[in-house]
Amino acid sequence: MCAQPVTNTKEVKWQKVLYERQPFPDNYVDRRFLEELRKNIHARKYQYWAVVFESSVVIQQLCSVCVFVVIWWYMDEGLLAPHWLFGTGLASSLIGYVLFDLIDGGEGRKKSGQTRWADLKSALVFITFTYGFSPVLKTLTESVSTDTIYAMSVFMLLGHLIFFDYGANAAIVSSTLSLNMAIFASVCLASRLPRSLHAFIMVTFAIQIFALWPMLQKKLKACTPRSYVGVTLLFAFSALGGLLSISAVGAILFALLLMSVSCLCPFYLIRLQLFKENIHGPWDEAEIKEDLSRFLS
Amino acid sequence: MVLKAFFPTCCVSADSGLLVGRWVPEQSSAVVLAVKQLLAQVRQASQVGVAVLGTWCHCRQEPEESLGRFLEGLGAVFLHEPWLRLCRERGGTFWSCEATRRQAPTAPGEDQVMLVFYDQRQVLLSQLHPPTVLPDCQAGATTASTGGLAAVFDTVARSEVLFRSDRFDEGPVRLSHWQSEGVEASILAELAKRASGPVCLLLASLLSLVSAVSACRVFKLWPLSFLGSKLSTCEQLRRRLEHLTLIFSTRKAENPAQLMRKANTVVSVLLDVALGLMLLSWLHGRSRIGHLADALVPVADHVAEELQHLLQWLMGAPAGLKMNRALDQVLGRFFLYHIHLWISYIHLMSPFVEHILWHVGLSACLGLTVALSLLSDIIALLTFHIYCFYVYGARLYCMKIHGLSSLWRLFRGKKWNVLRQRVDSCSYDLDQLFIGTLLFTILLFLLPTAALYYLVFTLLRLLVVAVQGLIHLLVDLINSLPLYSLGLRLCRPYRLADKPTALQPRGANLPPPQLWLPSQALLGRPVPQAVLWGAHLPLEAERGQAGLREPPACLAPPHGHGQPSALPGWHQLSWRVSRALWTLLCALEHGRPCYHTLGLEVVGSEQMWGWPARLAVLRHWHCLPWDPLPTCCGHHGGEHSSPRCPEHCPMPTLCTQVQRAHPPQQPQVEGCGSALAVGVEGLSQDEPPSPRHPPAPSAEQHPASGGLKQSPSPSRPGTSLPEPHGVYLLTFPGEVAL
Repeated sequence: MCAQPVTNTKEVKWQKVLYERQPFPDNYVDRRFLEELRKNIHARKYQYWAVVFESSVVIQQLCSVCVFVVIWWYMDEGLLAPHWLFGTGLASSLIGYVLFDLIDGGEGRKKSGQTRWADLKSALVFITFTYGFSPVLKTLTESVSTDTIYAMSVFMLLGHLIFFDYGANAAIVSSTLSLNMAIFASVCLASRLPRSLHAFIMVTFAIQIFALWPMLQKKLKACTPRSYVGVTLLFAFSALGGLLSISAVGAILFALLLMSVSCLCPFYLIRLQLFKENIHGPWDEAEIKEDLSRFLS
Repeated sequence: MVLKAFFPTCCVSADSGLLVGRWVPEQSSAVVLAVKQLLAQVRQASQVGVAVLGTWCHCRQEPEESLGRFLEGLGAVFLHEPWLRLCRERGGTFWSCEATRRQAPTAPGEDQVMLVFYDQRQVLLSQLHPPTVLPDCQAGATTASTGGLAAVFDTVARSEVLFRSDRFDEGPVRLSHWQSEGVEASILAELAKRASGPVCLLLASLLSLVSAVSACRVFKLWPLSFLGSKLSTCEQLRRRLEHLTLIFSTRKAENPAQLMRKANTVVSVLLDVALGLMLLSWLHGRSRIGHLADALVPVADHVAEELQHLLQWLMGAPAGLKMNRALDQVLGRFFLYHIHLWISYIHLMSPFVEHILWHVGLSACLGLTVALSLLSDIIALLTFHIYCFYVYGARLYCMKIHGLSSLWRLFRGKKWNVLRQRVDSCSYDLDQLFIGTLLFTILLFLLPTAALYYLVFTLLRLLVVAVQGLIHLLVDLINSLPLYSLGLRLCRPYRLADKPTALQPRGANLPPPQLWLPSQALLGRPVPQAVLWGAHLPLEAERGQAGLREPPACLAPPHGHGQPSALPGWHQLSWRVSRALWTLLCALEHGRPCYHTLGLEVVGSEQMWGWPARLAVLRHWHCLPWDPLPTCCGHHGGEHSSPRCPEHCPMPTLCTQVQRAHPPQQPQVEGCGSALAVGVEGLSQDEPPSPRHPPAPSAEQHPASGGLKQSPSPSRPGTSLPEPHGVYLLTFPGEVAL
């Protein structure tokens, strides 16, 4: 009679339940206790070059800001004629507009229902308002100190870079705020230029580079990735070249920044993936939902 | 309940006789209305059920045994329950009050008597609160009303005929009242009364004609009605018309409050017109109008020049502010042009200014307030440019602020959801974003300029408004100051008496009321002397209910209660003025008329002091009109801080007591254990005073009364009164008042 329960315990399999009385000591741990543990289920394996390719959005935006500042510098110094910039900008805008439709064969336009008449109207509104307000913009910040304007512009451009929609799904992203900050900065900087025509062309250029250029980029990246890489490289080198003509130190620093963003950061991302330990299993995570404040008082 | 005997002070000098009055059973109080010497027919002169309450014995010479016995025997004749026996001996040195009952007292405290003196004439003249309660519904009303003394005061007020018709020597009925003040009649007053009726009728019809014209439909049209609402002269004229209509209305005032309002209005109108006539005579004498007109145009020019300077300063870089130069110039030139227009207008007007002022000056005969309102309107017209500047600046600033707030939401990619009253996120088009941000930037950088202009012109406008406000304040003061009431409050405060709320019937578990005597420092003289001079003795009846025992000396200084009213000269006058103002303030705060009760004055309410009960002050306790007024003996040489020596200061004494007869067949038995001549009881009886009634304000607690010796004990409190040392104002078991 005494041996009976002992033999039974050998036969009885351990169950991971608490509601049944089992012939095991309290601190008994079965081999099958953690057999359902899984690690890093949702961890993604990144390819290095794919990450580098994705980081080109950041590169593009950095280069846009850089190009804008360089162009403003040239205008402020009087090295760049506003007519020339306006002509170039107009030509590139037209080319971009044609490209924008050609790349996907007009599918995007059909999908969004945007007519050419609406495009023309928007363009007219831009041009008219900017041209009408350019004398106001010229005298707007006359009495304000230049340093204040610079500080404000830097602050706004940084904000533009921070809030820009790089494709990440985060709460901080707000493309509206980002664009508005860029326009604010461009208005501030344009009010420092010598004439109202300069201000008008500067603001127009800001619209082109901060509002229209990212739209074209997005479409290029989605449809023709190869040409996108080429465009990005070209853009980066032109920005570097422009910066180099102003200050060599700045160019070197900017090049280092670009390199670190495009090569070093992806490398570290992939290296750090090895240290990922994310456990999953058939358990509920302990989650305290009750209001604990009554225990605290 | 404590038996309260209300005794008119005008009767204290009357000869011995019967106490005629009314017994109020609900309050267990006897209201003595008169003392009848010869008992002929007590006529029911008033609607009050007058009865013989007891006897009054004033022994001028040695007490006559026969009279005393006769008075005692009267109790059996009149069969009043309880039977009061008031006795005053030898020129008022001391008093006794006995109440005899046939049944033994059932409720605790029924064996106590409180003798309250009141001034009959002042009760009669307390015109704000005439008797409103009818005799039949009186019992219910008094129990329902919180004012426990209401019935008492009501009784006194309705016995006016008894008071007025009686003379000292008048036929067989000899009443104690001998003064005829209060009945003021003269031929002039009578004539004025006769004439006022037709005059009022005539003037009222004239006024109704004027108001009918002013109510004409033409004046309701747009520009006229707008002007009428904006010009303060029109407002003032309208108000004066209402006042005059109120004054000359032939309807009789329904209640004393309305009468008071009428009187106030009359006084204010008279004062107004008098001041206006003074102004008129000043203005039109010695060609002052011409000087004024000559001075007015340069002043307006000067103001305009100063404004030009101010604008030029604003168009520069005022105070080193970073203004937008272009906007600054535009605004400055706009305003400068305005001023230029204004100056030319003034110069166009300058030949006519004198005539205008002359005619305006004539309006002062309508009253000073009308002239002041006209002045206010003239100021408004002369500073119209400042008003315009203010409106422009404010409108510009308001537009900027509104635009900035909505564009700031656009800047953040949000919008205001009108339906849900909240800020929602919204996706804007590219061109919307661009234009919004452009405008936002421009408005943001232009904001300081507009804000500065707004600030400067608002300050200017505020200056003008402050001047106009001062004028309007003066006008309102003249319009609405209750001058008649104030004068009454200063000279005849009892006429504004309210219904007494103090001395309410109290619960059985509460300690009895007691007199609290203010300290010597507060009175300015020793207490016995101050009492004789008519000091105000706060009766701590109500505060005893709350269990509060601290003396209210801390609250006395702010409004001067507890100070001796007998301070001579300007001292007393200033004290009265301050008290009147205080009462006025309190009345304004609580929205009711002056809270001044007859004999009992409510000092502060619980809202003011945070105490749960009101504090009563015996206001007209003139310590009985002693004749002759006893003075402190020269024994101490004017040094009053020392304990009063009982041998040399014959002070009036009052002792109240209740005699209780156990067998109903023998009404007058010897005073048993309930004899209430306090201060003597502890000595005459074996047992100490009841622990329920702590011997509160005795020698240790009140330094002013500290030196008083307790009187030696009489062998029989009922018949042989205590030694005449010390004033017993109000006595209860275990308490020495003084």
